Amino acid sequence: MTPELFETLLETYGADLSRWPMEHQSAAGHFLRSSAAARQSVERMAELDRLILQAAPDIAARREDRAIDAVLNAVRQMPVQAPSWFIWNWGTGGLTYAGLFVLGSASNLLIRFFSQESPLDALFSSNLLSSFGG
Amino acid sequence: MERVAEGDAVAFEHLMRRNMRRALSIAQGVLGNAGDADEIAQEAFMRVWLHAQRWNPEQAGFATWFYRIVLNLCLDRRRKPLWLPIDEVAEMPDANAELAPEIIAREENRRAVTRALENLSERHRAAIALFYFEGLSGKQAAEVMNLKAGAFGQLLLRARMAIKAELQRQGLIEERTAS
Repeated sequence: MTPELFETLLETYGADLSRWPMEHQSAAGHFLRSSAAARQSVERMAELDRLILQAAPDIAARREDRAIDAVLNAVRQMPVQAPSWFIWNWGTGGLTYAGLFVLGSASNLLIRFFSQESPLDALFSSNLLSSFGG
Repeated sequence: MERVAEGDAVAFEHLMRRNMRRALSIAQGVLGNAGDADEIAQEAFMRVWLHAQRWNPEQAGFATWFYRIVLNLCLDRRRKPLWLPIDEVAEMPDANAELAPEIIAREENRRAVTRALENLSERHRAAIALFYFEGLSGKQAAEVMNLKAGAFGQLLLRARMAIKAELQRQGLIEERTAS
């Protein structure tokens, strides 16, 4: 590892070599042990790391709980969503019934076309005659 | 996640308890204020609840998928000023309190870094938040940001250089730290 590459990786990933890309860690470790200048650079960079970490957001447990409660409340107020298997079964069932209806209607029209009277006409006319005495 | 996709609210609550802190932390790290971060974290979990079936474990781990949701919501959010004025970030501690000099020094440092972060783009802040605040590896953070590892490294390097320059300007670190 060259001093330039070591400095670039140090600038990028900070002073903790275990956080550097795996493929560079071993060579960086060897280089660090052999170079006093590299060790000084790491010490200086550790100060920058420490300062950056001080700005990390401090999330209180109470705030976390509030956020979770808010989401759960919103979920409870949502309309119940049917599970996918339910939608599939009822969806396919509905399509089956719709298909049968269309087929039945088409058959009725075909029979009417060829025979001038469909089975349904015969059924309804007889009922109407018997009910109203026509 | 399978149970969440089936509408299991108990599983969903467990999922939130495991990941809410990180969602809040990432959002606050990118946006810089707690109020917006709370909204983003909640919105991110609502999306998980509504679209859990879209997660494909073969494409990305849950954490990567979820952090992407949080990050994209942060990057899309532009209707409010992102960072609060520095005086609103935190109250100064009582000067008479025990250990006050150390606490004050620490708070001053934190404000200085916050000021430095203010000047970064959201993407640079996201790189800092994922790698430093959340401790993700460079590879993981790159996946969350949908970048190649090298591109993420460049982003992180530029973010650190900018922070360092600002801290040097404020006299918190010595010039030679840049060497």
